[in-house]
Amino acid sequence: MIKFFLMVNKQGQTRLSKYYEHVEINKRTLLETEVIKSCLSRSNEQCSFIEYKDFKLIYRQYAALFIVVGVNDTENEMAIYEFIHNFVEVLDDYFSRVSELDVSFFSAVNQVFHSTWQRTGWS
Amino acid sequence: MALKMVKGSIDRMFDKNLQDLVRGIRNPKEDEAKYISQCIDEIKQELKQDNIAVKANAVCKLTYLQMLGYDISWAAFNIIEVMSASKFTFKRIGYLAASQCFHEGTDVIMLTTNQIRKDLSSPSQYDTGVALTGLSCFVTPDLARDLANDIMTLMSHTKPYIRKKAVLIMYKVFLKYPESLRPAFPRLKEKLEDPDPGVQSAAVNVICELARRNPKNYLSLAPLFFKLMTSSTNNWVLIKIIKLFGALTPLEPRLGKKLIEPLTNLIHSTSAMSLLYECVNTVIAVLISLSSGMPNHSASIQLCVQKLRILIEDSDQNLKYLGLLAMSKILRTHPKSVQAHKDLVLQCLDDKDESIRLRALDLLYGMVSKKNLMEIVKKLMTHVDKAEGTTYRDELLTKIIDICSQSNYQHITNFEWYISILVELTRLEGTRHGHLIAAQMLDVAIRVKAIRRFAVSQMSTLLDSAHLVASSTQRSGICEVLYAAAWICGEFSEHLQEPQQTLEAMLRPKVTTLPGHIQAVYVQNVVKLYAAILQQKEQAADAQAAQEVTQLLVERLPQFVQSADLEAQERASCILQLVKHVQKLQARDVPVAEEVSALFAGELNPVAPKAQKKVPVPEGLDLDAWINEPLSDSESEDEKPKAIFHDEEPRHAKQRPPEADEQELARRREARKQEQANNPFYIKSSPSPQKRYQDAPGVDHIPVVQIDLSVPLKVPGMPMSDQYVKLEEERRHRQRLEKDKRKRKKRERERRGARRHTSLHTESDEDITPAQRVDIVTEEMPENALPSDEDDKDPNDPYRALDIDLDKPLADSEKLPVQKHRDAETSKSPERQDVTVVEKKSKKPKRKEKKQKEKEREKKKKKEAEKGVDLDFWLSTTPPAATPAPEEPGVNAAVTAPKEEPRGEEQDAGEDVEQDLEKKPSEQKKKKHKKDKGERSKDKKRPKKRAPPREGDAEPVQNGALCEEPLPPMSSYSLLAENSYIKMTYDVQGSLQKDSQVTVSMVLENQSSSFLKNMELNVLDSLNARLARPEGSSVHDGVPVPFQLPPGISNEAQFVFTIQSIVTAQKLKGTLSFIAKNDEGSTHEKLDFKLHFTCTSYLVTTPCYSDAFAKLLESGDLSMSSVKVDGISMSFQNLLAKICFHHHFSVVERVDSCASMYSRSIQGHHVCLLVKKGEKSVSVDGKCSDSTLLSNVLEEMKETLAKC
Repeated sequence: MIKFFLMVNKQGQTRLSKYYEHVEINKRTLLETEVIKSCLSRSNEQCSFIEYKDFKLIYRQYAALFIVVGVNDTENEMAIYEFIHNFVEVLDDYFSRVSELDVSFFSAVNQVFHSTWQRTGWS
Repeated sequence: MALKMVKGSIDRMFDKNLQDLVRGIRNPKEDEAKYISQCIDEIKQELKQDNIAVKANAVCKLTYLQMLGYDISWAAFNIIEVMSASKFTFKRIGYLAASQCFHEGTDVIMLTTNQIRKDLSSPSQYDTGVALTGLSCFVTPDLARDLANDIMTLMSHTKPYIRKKAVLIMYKVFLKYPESLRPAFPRLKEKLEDPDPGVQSAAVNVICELARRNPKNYLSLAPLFFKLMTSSTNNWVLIKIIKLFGALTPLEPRLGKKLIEPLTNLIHSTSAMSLLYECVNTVIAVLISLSSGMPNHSASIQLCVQKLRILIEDSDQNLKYLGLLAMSKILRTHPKSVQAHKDLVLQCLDDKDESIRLRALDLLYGMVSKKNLMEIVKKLMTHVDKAEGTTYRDELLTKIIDICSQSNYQHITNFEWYISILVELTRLEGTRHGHLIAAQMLDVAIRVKAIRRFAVSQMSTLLDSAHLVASSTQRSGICEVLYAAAWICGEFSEHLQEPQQTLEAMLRPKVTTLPGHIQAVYVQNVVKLYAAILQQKEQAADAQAAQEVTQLLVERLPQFVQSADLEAQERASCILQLVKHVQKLQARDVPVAEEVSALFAGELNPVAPKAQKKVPVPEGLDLDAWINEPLSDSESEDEKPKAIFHDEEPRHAKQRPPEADEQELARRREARKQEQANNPFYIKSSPSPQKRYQDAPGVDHIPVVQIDLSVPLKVPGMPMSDQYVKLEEERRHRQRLEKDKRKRKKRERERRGARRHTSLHTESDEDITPAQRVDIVTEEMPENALPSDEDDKDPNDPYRALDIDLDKPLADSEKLPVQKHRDAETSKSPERQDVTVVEKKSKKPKRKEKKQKEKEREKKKKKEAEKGVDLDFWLSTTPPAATPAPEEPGVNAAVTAPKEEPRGEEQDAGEDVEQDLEKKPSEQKKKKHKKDKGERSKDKKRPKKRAPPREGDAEPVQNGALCEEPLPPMSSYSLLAENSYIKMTYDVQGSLQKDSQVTVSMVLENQSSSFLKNMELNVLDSLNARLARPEGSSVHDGVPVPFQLPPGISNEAQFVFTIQSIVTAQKLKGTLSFIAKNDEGSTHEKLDFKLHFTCTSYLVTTPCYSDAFAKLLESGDLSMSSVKVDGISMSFQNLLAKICFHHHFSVVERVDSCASMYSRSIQGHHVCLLVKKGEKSVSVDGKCSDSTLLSNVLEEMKETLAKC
């Protein structure tokens, strides 16, 4: 099960966040900072899965933008990893070469997000 | 021009849109916090305006801010306002905002129920879709209960887009409202075979999620999933299904057997790593479940291990990580096959990535054996030294301890080695795990008797060098080990070589810098040491020395008396007094050693951590009863905090007088039992013989090799533990030689010339004898300990509520709550009405029906049994991965076989109904060729057009079972037109949202053997009624039907009509054109029809309270009309039900044979009725704000009543 989905840039600014379980708003910011911190601290030589508290973070970096998905332990890490890329490809198609700026204007991304993620029935 | 510009800029100033907001936030010149607070102020202004567009824009901006971490809960009500906007673009914004910030605690959420319901039933699929998406994020138990039925209906929507969303959201509904699972499950199951892959995958997802929590309820679906697995090519779906099988196999090992082959095929063939990984995982799960019964799967294990090895060796770190993760799962059951890859795992310890190293560590945990433990730990110790970063080092430390201590120190053959490892670990800088090491030291020293001497000597050196450890006190918790060291030295002081030296070490002034609880232990153990020394000195008759020791204590103890720690202080002052007393006695030459050491006499036994909890409450003891009426607070002593109790326990044990002889014991036994019975906290101190630790079988007759401890252990430049490794190796080597020698002799003597065994030097674990007698004392449990383990369950698990048996047929009481009033429906089929009436009545079950139910229950039991048999059949006979043909019977058996039974039942039920109703002429017979599929899709709108039981003959069992629910059970669909190709039935529904629109739901059923496609519907519009056509098409264009019909299939299409005046009924002529294609070719066909919009179809059932009703009548602006129908024999109750159903009225009040009823038209006309029943006649008086409408409605009603 996916717990949350984040798009964060290298400066730690959230570009898109989506929670599938209610998290209080002040805890969200805290969580997001911690998550991005642990992602930033990793090098390319390290794997894309982080055990964080009681769930797993799966992240991928695209230029300055991180896409991080938090899942519980029953999820197939590799599938999510591949899926993030799928999502980015769809974004790329929609915006024709997606950039962080595009993602900032989020309503469109939200639309794409909903339809992509639901097509495969993950969320 | 200039004015325009100014105006434009003013507009923009007020209407900052999302883009501007984002741009502003990104603008580095502006102070972000200030900018945002300014924006929020603007938004607040905008929200106050009436214009919905402005509001929507404001909410849109708020949603963005919420995502950035600003609280917008104050705008919840505005969000609801935007949600209820009629324009889709605004509605979408509203729902998005709601999905982001609403949660169960949002109080306004209950206001949304009706809005959401309205949107769910909206004719526009996008409205429905956006409502579903939003709802999935904030569904509450209340919403789930109220909307479950609506969502369930949507699961059979014509649009896959909606079906998919509805299926997915059902999962959330189940979680919040578990009662909905059983009624909705049959339909969910249907969706597994939906023609749309998206819907199918959604259904697979939902069922997999459900099944993973409570797999046993979903076993019967295994054949279906198996079919899906072998036929699906969608990797996402495959992954989910395979995961599901992973959850099912532990319950049904035969399933595992069946799965192995297709899974291994997948492993060989797939190129998708995620799928490969999932397959391997599931194969592992299967093998685990098989490992008990079927050992012959070493090939599969080998395959998995090989594949994993490839993953681990891959340069991609992700794969490496996953490989290790999966490997650890195999390890649990097949450690041998993993141990072969030890080199690889050890190699991973050097990886750059910490998470990979940690995974490798996990693996090591399971790979150790008696043989390789020392080697592995040695390797780990070198890593500890190299490791940078305290987290990883701490992790290493805990792992070393875990590895060594696992399953009761099973793999440790030499505890001296282990103690020295622990001592070495204390030299780690900055570790947080001092307490762990300390706990291990204590545990080993207490439980391995043979090691105590050695442990004490090590601990005393540790105490001696305490300044080294203590110097790092400020930084770490390593000083915790001093706690253990002090206690061990004190408790087992008889083994100390130089007690005096240790005593002095413990009394150094530096000690006072240690944490309080350690000081306390120091103080306590100083006395133990002191007692031992006194004894020693007195035996040696060295009174001088004894007095010197006392003097030392008297001098040094005051430093503890001033300790800031209460515990240390209290103990110190107590002991100081004691020592001073001893000093006085000593001055008088009284021998005191005996008495002082009596304070600490007795043996300590370890107590199991749960022992306290497991003490059974003796019969007749009521723990809640007062023993004495509470007088003071003194009772609170009984509830000492746990820590104190724990600390004191050793003292309790010690202070017990030395055990008397056997007779004495026997004599006291009775008394003690009595005492135990009264004292629930009593823990017995002597170990019960049957629980004594038993080492590996035969450990007793293994010759115990005592290591001579006088061998000088110090080898310069080598850590202690390494010396032990060497010693141990030598010892083992010696042993092996001896054994070999013995064996060889034997062999030579007995069978010279017989086939020779090559004496390989592969010693199994059992061959290695421990260096010491591993006298590990088991933890004690109280006598008659309760075996229960109920503390393992988490009562808060939301999935527990979903542990529901799904194969059991639905009971009467199980139904989804349905809104009391229903949407408009009409019916022209009088035969069907009867059924409804009875079903409505069935709320008060008659005896007959009861009997019927019992019968059904029995049959259902049988059916369940059959289902079990079916699964067995499928599992046992079908060869794995064969062509689908042999699966057919199994799959069908599981799904269709039970159908046979309920058919009969329902027919029975139908007949009963007819008897009740004075035998109505039976309606048209069910057409034989109608198959389930057609039925199912026909059943999509079930609540609105419930098929009568007769027609339910061929329905799948799920639907049959559902018949018992009091969902709106009548079909209001009436025949529109029919020819040899196609049959059309329709129903007209109005809705209160759109005051000039009605929706016509048309069911098209293919009655031929041709394939029908390119269906198009066209209607000749009248001035008053118009078909809503897609934008851009002219009035002469038809509206395409959004589906095709294979032979025997039916489906439902909806068309929206705009009506101007609703006061009169009217008819519209129309044509359905389509292409019928069969083997001989295709023909263009046409079917004409006449759509009849009755006045009642414009009425919408609306509840009304009697006071509002009375006011309405009193208002006087209603015109009146009445009708009277004679020759009615039907009961009043049924009559009312009929009016309610067919004419969309609701009963306001009923007194005897008189009732007031109310309904409302889509354009807001109130229609009030007073229905009176006389002898064989019914009179209806109506009042309505429009007289034409009223007279038309009454006319229609008269027609209906006349048929009664």
